[in-house]
Order: sequence, then structure tokens, then C-alpha cells
Amino acid sequence: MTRRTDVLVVGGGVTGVGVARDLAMRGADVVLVERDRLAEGTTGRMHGLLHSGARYAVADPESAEQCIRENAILRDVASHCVEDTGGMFVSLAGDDQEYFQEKLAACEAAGIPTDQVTPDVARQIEPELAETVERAFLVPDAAIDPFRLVAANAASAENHGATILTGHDVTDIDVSGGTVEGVTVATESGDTEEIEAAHVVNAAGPWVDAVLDGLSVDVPVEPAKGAMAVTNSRPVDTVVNRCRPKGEGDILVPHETTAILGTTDEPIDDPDDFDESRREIEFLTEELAEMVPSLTDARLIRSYWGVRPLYDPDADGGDSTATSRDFAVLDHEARDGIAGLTTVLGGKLTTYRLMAERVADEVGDKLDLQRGCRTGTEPLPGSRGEVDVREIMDRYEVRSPVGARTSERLGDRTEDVLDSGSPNPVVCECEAVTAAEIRDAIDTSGPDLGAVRMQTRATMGTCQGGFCSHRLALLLPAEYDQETVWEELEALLAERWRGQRFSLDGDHLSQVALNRALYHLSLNVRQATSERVDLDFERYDGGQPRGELSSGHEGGSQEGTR
Amino acid sequence: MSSDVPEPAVPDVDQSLRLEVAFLRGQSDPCYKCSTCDSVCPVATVDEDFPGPKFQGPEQWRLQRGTIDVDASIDACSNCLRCHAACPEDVALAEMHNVAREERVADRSRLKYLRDRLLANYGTLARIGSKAPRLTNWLANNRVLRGLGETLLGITAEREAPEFAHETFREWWGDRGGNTITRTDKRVAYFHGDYANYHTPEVGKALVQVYETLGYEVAVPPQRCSGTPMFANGFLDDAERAARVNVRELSELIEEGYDVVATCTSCSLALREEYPSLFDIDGIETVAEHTFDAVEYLLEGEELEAASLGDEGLPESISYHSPCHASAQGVDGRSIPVLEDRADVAVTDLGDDCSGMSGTYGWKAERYDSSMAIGADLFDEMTAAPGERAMTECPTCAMQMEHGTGYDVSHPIELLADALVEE
Amino acid sequence: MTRRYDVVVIGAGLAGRMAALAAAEEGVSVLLVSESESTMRSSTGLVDLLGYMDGRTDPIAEPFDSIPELPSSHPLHNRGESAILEAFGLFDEAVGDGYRGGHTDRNGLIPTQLGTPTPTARYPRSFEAGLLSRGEEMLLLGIEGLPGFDGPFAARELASYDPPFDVSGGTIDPFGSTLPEQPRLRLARALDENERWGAGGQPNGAQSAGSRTRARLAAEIERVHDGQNRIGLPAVLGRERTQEIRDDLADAVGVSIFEYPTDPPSLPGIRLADRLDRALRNRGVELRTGMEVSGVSIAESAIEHLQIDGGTRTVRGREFVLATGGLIGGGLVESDGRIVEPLLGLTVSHPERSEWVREDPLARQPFATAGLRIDQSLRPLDSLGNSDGRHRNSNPQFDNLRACGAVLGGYDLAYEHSAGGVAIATGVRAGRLAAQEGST
Repeated sequence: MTRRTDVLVVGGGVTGVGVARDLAMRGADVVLVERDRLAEGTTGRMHGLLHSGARYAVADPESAEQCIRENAILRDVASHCVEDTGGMFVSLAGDDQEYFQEKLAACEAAGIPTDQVTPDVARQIEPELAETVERAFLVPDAAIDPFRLVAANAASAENHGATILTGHDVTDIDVSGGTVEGVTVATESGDTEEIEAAHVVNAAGPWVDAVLDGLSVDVPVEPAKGAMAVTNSRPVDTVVNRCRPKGEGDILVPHETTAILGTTDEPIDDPDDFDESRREIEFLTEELAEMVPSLTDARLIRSYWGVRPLYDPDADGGDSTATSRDFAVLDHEARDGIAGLTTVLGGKLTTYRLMAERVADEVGDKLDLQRGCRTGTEPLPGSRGEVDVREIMDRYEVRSPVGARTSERLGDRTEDVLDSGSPNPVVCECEAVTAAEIRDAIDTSGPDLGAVRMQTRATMGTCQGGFCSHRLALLLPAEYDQETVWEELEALLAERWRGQRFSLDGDHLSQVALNRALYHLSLNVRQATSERVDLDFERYDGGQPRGELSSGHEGGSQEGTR
Repeated sequence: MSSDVPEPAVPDVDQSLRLEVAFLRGQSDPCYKCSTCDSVCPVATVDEDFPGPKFQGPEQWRLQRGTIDVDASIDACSNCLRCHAACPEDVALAEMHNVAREERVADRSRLKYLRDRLLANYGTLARIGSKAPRLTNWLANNRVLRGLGETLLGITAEREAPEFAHETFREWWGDRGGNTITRTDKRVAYFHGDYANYHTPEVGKALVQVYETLGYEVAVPPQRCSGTPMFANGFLDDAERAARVNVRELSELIEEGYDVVATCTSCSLALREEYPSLFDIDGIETVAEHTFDAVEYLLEGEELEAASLGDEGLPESISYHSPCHASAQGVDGRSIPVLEDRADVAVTDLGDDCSGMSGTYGWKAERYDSSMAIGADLFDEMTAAPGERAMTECPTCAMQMEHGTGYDVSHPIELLADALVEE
Repeated sequence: MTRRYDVVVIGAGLAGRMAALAAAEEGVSVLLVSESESTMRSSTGLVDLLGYMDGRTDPIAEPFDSIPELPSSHPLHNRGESAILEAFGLFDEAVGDGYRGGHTDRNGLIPTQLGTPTPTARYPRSFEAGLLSRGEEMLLLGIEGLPGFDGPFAARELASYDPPFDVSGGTIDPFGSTLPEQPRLRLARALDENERWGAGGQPNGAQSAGSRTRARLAAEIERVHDGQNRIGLPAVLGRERTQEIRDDLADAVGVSIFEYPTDPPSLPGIRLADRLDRALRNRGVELRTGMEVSGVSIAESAIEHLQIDGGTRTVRGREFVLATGGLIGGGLVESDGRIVEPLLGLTVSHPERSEWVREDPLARQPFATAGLRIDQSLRPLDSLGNSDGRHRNSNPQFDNLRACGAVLGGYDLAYEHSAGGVAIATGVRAGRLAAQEGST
């Protein structure tokens, strides 16, 4: 089968969907292909920080300025993805006090508003801060949910006519006579598709060079892994940064109902195959406990690794946090003699929209699209208005905290989603996700429970899906067959399990033990998902012999008793 | 440019609230969602709008951000504390519910607020009422007034008000000579509670009789309400004020070597568990460690073992109800082996159903039906058991049991007093 | 001084309760103390013995054929068949007519709410008609709006195992569009009391004049009933009067109504805990909850008394049985990379931390085998023994302490479906031995 489109975007992270949105809004016909599910790569594995730019103010002022500008824009157009937590930089006894001053000055120079506070005030704002805090200042950091951001961009792109195809893996970029003609993709079901396009945008993050495999182009992307861990409950409501030059184990970000400990920075070769070790997670806890001592004993529910797609033209290794975090838009026609191909790499989630704008400007010029980017002013779906939480609660009879969480996630779509009829029980109790919200996510993303998880936060809470995985799966049979339901449940359990393997401590190990009792003893999932063997029912107990069952209480029947 | 970015500023937040949120949010850490708390909740079985302690506790507290937004359903919680006692992971459910109730006070209508404040500060009302017991009794049981009470304040007219004794326990104690302490050991400070003082002084008298017979000396210190009705209605400040008095008075005696004994198991639970978890008062931990249930305390010593007991004046059979607040501290039914083995009383254990009364809960008009629905099983068990007498350590359970069956309900210490043969 | 009990059991799970019952049967004084309620209340109410052997996906039909093949570290390994049967006999006696399955040594297969067959040694009476080895045509019902239940899905799943009967699925809607906040607990109560329903579509206690709960439920069942001989519902048929409710429903619908097990809140788990409590009371066992053991006083390698709540209260006993549970019950906890026994600091055997998990979430997990090592008399040992599983140089940590149930190591109760087996077999033995020692 062959599709035709103006622009083919490779990569379903935030940059890819951001590009798709921008170009679609400018009138281009856009198809986006993503090998797995949206946000499965770097975007879905970051620390949830909407930068104020303060982290880059000293080492990379240009980045810092971009960040503060985009910070303002995203608070506006992506409001339902952003929680205004505020941020602070703290300096502990023994930290470099000169650097503290340097940082403050650099923020000012970059246009990042700051407010220096005493340690006492800092601890008033965040009671969990260590007694050793000597200096602190506030910055306009915020928390952002990358999944919602991606989902909103994808929805907007689709609203403007784009087609988003997940489970489509680019196997070849088809070039003829120095011009890109399109791509070949392999789909999840094993089919092959050709997609003809006037222009291809390679937004595959750490995989940009893998996508370009087969062409004689060299894109020096330097993948670097970072470890992160997630607490069960929020010890802080403000983004807390350690004010020091070295960049590891120095940030704690409130994220929805949890907090994320971040991060490390280590170059790797293959973004699909690298080491993940418990030691990295222990390191994060130890380092961050210097700022927030309760982290030592806090319950961690999950750990994960993300891979940054760093761009370093010098490509000589070195400390990658010191490398410019600037992004690059590579025009392969000018650079490599291949027309119709653009690669974008580097950057960070906070500046995704700006990156997408630059890509769209360049591609738009080549394709002669209407000029003018509107992504900085037009709100994303979900961010188009205030939600009256009280009214929602009353009308749809949802409990107060459930209503609050639902509206925080859905924004202006809350009413539409909840207006789907009663009853509407809570399915994921830890994260307060109702059946209506799950069904809405299934409508958008199909039976992929991983995508449902990302959109709704179901299974991302305290029990990590112990109690609700099967409930999610049982919302699928309305539209999907038995095999799909079990496949999806199995995949969900495997993914959740993987994330917990380094958080089997204290309370969470007890959780995992209880979850296992549920899966095996209450639900006996393994019997269904393992290879089917014939059961000889005659060998098992058929109950005590009795008369016929048909008319009465518990009669028995002569056949079937053993 | 950055004009759209909010200027960072110190948020204006109530600091003690902030600390409370921080603590209670973290209490979701030990929770592993087993639902044992829900499985013991009596309200959830009778009230279709009640989500249960798992949600009202660790789930909703984990969702809180900075400000507190608690669900209204906590109003229907009876404060039986079964969830707290049942939790295998020691989640601080009682504290979560108490703070949630405190948050809800602000959302009450004026009349409801007044009603709840009156019920919570029952001790104050009772003190006034006890000055003229006969008049108070007449007024309290006047049908018209009861009807008005329900219409205006939401205090149910279905129940008869407990009778005021013509002489309070403290008045009796004073007339008797007050605290006359001569020993340096075997001394107990009696925390009688408001109910025994004003309505059932015979319970206090029985305690004094039992303890003195066994060779103890009893002191009755100045005391305020233990706070249970205040916790149950969210008036934590009122409870703290009362706690300060109690801790001060009891600490003094504990320092001199006394232990504190209580006949009401809600009082002993409050002093032992809720005090140290809710309030930061000097000496509160010591009070908690030195507070005992009256019968439990005797069983820790040797005197009861050595005493002579007889069955004269005792019923042949009696049924026993375990108050939720008693089993929460493992002190329920401690008198049963003594009465059965040594005083020939056949005791029918009524099981561990909740009576549904839970102090002020059963007095609220909007909760009366739930209260009686919860108690229905207990009433059936009582009726099925031999005899028409029952006993329990909790005075409000006793109130409910009497209301539901018409039986005479005693405190176990009264039976012990009858059983003890004077040497 | 407080009374000195002959046997003190710590922990009120299945193992602890069985230990207390077994000790009481010997005629000694027994005290059962527990900090909280048992997580038994969240269990399905099924009582297994041994359901799966390593690496096999077909459930065991004859557990006694497989038990001898268990590794020597497994708590069931040295339990002879007659001892296990006897222990289960004590369980059968305690739960009376509420449970079935004791007429045979074979496991029965019961359908879960997902329709998967699950093996069990004992099952509540209300589950019996749902046994998968019977031949009657089956209808599996889910309840509208209740997350986690889908009758047709479960039926399709069950059918895929080719059972000796036709099975179909359906959905009933007893609540209309307004689900109670706690549908199972509320419905169970409404069924027990056979409450009348009000105009708001809810059971409404005494005040309304609408139809009664059992009749309403029967009508709903009849609506979807299509001739099948037995109809399965999620286990919500009351907490106290299950049999009466089933009889009423069967009378109305004309066929047998059975229950199938559920995830928490689980009524059969609650019923089992209640039943065992009654059995304990009838046997004269003193049961005290709310008792947190905070320390222990020792004299010459024997436990003298337990300290409760910081030491101001004590519990004295001659013999002690530790039945505090495993990682679920809180008898074992993770601390600093090790699994420890927090109450008495007993030695816990467990694999190296890097070996704790396998990649497949549903595989046997090595960490789950953590627990105490015991001698023949069920006394926890002070060292981990030699690699061959023998304990030549190990000694019991306390002379008068035994352990039973999930605090023991060497087995994976979830994977094997052996929670009940170990709890009952070791609980009864520990209780009996403690009673025999304690009465001398």
C-alpha cells in the first residue's frame, strides 16, 4: 500500500508531534510515523521539568534564554500539561558560594526572574529541606507532563488533518537521484508500506542516525543515558535544584502525585541496549538526600532510564552536561547533497515548540507553505479554557479529589469525557482515574494499554497496576478480541514489572508481594498467558455426589463427580 | 518576554497545615492497597455514598497538593477506628480522618456547626445540666423539645437522652472525702470520663470499690473530656485545650508513681493513641504509656488472682459486646475469663460487630438510620443470647444496646465489684 | 502478674489461627495476639495446598503425588501425607459446613473472575457448584459497572480450555445507573438483610416499600438466564447468610447459583476470617487484636514474656508460636538490601539481592522464598544451614519458640498456590507441639 503526503515526520516524541502540528497548521499534508507508541522514547523518560532556564544560565546562556521564553509560552498554550510548582536553587553548607552568586547573576542576564530567600523561608516553603541549606533563591521552574503534552500536540495535528501512525518502523529512506522520495515502513502486523513524501523530517531523537542508516550521511548524535527514580508520594511541591556546577543527582521534580529524582549523565553507544544498574538509583537517592533527607527512607515505586539525543559537532566525547544543549536543524541538501530531508536533534522538551518552529520554517520554505507560526499563541486541545472543578464534581457525581485530578489531566476536555453516561466508577484508585477517562484513551490510542497508561496515569500510582491492570484490560473486550486483551495485559504487567525491579525495598517490596498474590492466587493470570496445555478435567475434584443441579440448590450430577 | 512568567514569590501557606499535608501525604507510603480497612468498615456496608477508609485515608491524602481538598464523605465516618486498628501496615488512618474532619468544619452550615460543636463539647453542656439533674432530665426527654432539637439542630428525636444522675461521681467522691492517699505504691489515678461522671456514677463507684478491695488507693484528679467526641467532629483545637489540662494533671501523678486507669475504652484509646499522634504536649508520651483500661490493669497485677470471688448477686448469664475502641487496643473482654471461671457467669460473646453508636454519631439525625442499620446485627445477637442483660466497656455502645433491645447494660467493672467478696 | 498462658501465638493469619486452634484442642490455655487484622480478608477464600509445580502450566490434580518431589527446603517437604490430612481435618472442623473439598485429596478447579481455571484444595460451599469438573452447562455473570468483571470475557476464556460443559457469559445490572461507592460490601449487606429498595435505585433499609434485594437480584439473573443449569456470580452473596441467599435465588431462578472468587474486597476472605474467629471463641482461645509486640524478655534462651506497646503491658507464656506472616503480612520486611524478621531479629534465609527477581513477572521469583529456616520441631534456627539444606551446626534461636506460615522460607506461595497448605500444615503442627511442651 502506498500513501502520499507532503511531509513525512519520523519520530513520535514531542519534537516529532510538535513538527507535525506546526506544519499541519501551515497547511501541509502530514503523516507522522513512530515505531512504537507516542512518547515511548526520550520524551516519555524525562524528569518532567519545564525549565526556567536557570540550570543553563551559567554554562549555556543562549539555551537559558530560549528556555525562559518557551516556559512562558507553554504555560499559556499547554496550560493543562503544566503545574505551576515554582522552583528553587539551594546551596548547602560546603557548596561553592561563588557559584551561587554567579548563577544568580547569570539568571538575571538571561531574563530569568529570581527571588533570593533565607534558608528559613526556603524551609517554610519546603519543610523537607535539609537543615544544612545555607542559601536559596526561587525561579519560575514548573512541572510538565510529557505524555499529555505529546497527546495534545498529536490531537491538534490530527485536527488539522495530519495522520499519526504508531507501530510503524522506518526501515528505509528512499532516495532517487539525490532526492528523497519517501520512506518504507514495517508495521506491527508485519506488513510493509511505502509512504511517498515531498519532504522527510527525521525527528527520531537518539535514533536519528539509525533512521539515516543506509544513506551516506553522518549525524554526530551522542546518546547519553540518564537514570531517574519515582517516589510514591510527593516530599516537595516545588522543583528543588542543587546549586552547583556538576549536573548529576541534583534535581527533585514534583510530578503529578509523585516526585522524580534526577538524574545521571553517561554516554552510551546504543539507545536500545545499555546498562541499567541499581547503583545508579542508589546514587540518586544518596545525592538528593543531602537536600531532602527524607528521601533516604522514602518509598520508591519505579525507576527508569532516558536517553538524551545530544548534538556535539566536535564529537570528541567529554563531559556531556557541559556540551551546549543547543539544538540543531540539519538541512541535508546543503550539508550532504540529499534534497528533501531534514534532521532535528539536541534540545530539550522545554524548547520543543521552538525546535519545531525552526524545522517548520525551513521545510515550509522549501515547500512554499504559508508563512507564520501559530503554535506559540494557539492553545493546545485541553488548554482552551478554565475548568470549574466544583461544577464538574456536582454534575458528574465524582468525589472531590477524583474530580480535581480528572480535570487536571483533561483540562477543557473534562466535560466531554465525563459526559459518557453512568455509572462511571473509578478504575485506577491510586491515581483517581475513572472508566470514562480510560475509554477515552482507548478511543484515541487503541488497545495499547501502555498508551492508555501514559495518557491517564492509570497504573502509575502506589500499587503500580497491582490492583487495576486487569480492570484496564477488561475495558478492552467491548472492541477487541480475547487474544488482544491478554497480550495487552501481559505487556502492561511486563512493563510495570521492569520498572519496579530496582525499587524492591521496604514498603514497595511488600506491595510487590501482595501484587503477586493477586495475579497468581486471585486472578491466576499465568494460567492464561502461558502456553496452553490440555487439561484433563476428569482428574480434578468434581464436588460431592448429589442429585441433579437443575432444580435446586446445590444438587450435583452423576457425571462429572469423581 | 518573561512578563508572562510569574515572578517567583513565597507562597502564602498556613505552615502547620503544610506540615500536616506533608506528613499525611507520606502516610500513603506504607499503604499497599490491601483493602483490609474497607473490609472492616461498618458504614460502607450500610451507606451507598460512603467510599470507605482506603479512599478517605491514604488515597485521597496522597492526591493532596499544598492546599487541602478533602472529600465531603468523611462527614459520614463514625470514627469507630476499626480501619485504623485493622490496617496491617500501620497507616495513620485515625490521624488522616481526624484532620480531614477538621478541614470539613469550615464547610458546615451554621446550624450543623453549632450542633456538632455542642455534641463535641458535651462535657461542658453536661456540667451545666448536672447542676439541676431532675429539671434537665425532664427537659431532655420532653417530646416537643426533642422534636425541636431534630428540626432545628439535627439531633435525632428517636433516642432518649441519657439520664443525669442526681449526684455526679465527682460529687460523691468529694462527699466521701476526696483523695486520701497514704501509700507510696499501688496508687491509681482514675480517669472517669464525662459519661460516668454525669450519667453512670455507679461505674465509677464500682471501680473504686474493686480497686480499694484489692488494696489500691485511688485518686481522682481534675480532668477534662478525653477528646473523643471532639476528634469525631473535627474540633481538634477544642481537643487540644482539653488535652493540655489532662496531660498536666495526669503527668503530675504519674511522676509520683501513679498509673492512670479508665473505665471508658474510648477515653483510654484517646489517651494512649490519639494524644501522642495528634498533639505535641510535654509529657504526652508518658501519659500514653501509663494509661490502662481498668480491668486490664488489674490483670497485670497479682491482687485479682489472689482475691476471692463469688457468684452472689450476679446474673447466671450475660452477653458481652466488644467496643471497637476496646478491641483496637486489645483490652476487650478482659473480664470474661474472670467472671466465667471464678464467678460462675455464663458469658455469651456477641462477636465483633460495631454497635453503630460511636459516640455523637448516632445522635445526628442524618446518621441515625445508618447507626441503627449498623447495630442491627448486634441487636439480633443480643436477642438470641440467653438472658436479658448485657455488658460492655463503652458507655455509648451501652446506650445503643439499650436503645435497640431494651436490655439492661452494665459495665464489666460493676459485675466484678459484685463478684468480689470483701475480706 | 499477668496470667501465664501455656501457648501464646503471635499473628492472626491462617497459620496463627490454626496454631491457636491446634493448641487449644490439646486442652491448654491459648492466647492469640495480633497487631492488626489479617490480610486473609483480602484473599479469595480458597484454601490451597499445592497448586503448581515448577515450570508446569497445568495445575496439579493430586497434590500428595507432588509434595514428595518438593525440594527439601520447602516447608511441606517433610510433612507426611497423614499429618497434612490431619491438619486439614482440623481446618475442616473449624469451618464446618461453610467449606467443601475435604471428601477428596484431589484439587478442584474453580473459575476466577477472568475465567481462568485455578486449583484449590478447599473451597467455600457456595463455590462448589462452579467446579469445572462437573458437566452442567454454565452461565458466568459479571455485574454492570463493577470494574474487573466481564462475564462474556470470562466465559470465552474458560471455554478455551475445553471444559466438559458449554459456558456462556452475561451481565446483570442490579444497581441501574447508580453504583454504590462500595458495591460489593453494600450489596452483600443488602442481601444479608434482604433490604427493600427505594426510588433512588438503591437498597434503602427499613424506610422504603420497594422490592427486596434478593428478589431484585433473582429477577436480573432471570433476565439473562438462557437455560443453563448453573449460574456463577462474583462472590458478593452476603457476609453472614450466604447459603440462605443462594437458596432464595435458586428457588426463584430454578437453577443452582454459585459464587466465583474475586480480588479485594473479597467477601469469602472476610467470611473465612469470621468463621475462624468463631471457631477460636468456641474453643476458648483468647484473641486480642491491637497488640503490637514491641519487644521480648528472654531468660536463658527462652522467651519469658512479650512486651506490648513499649513495654508497659506484657504477655507471659510458656511456649510461643510466631505466625506473623511473610512480606505480605509484615512478618518479613526488606531493610537495607536484606530481608529481615523485625519482631525478634530471627535469622532469615534469602537469595542474594541481585538474584531476587526474574524478568518474567509471572515466573517464580527468588525473593519470595525468603524466610526462616526451621528444625524438625519448627523452631527457627540461628544460622542458615549448609548448602545441602541440612543444619548440622545450627541451633534453635529460642527453646520455646516455633514458627509457622509465611514467615517460613523455602517456598513461593503465590506461584505454587501453596499459601493455605503451608499455613495449615505448619500452623497445626506448631500449635500442637507448643501445647504439648507447654503443658509439661
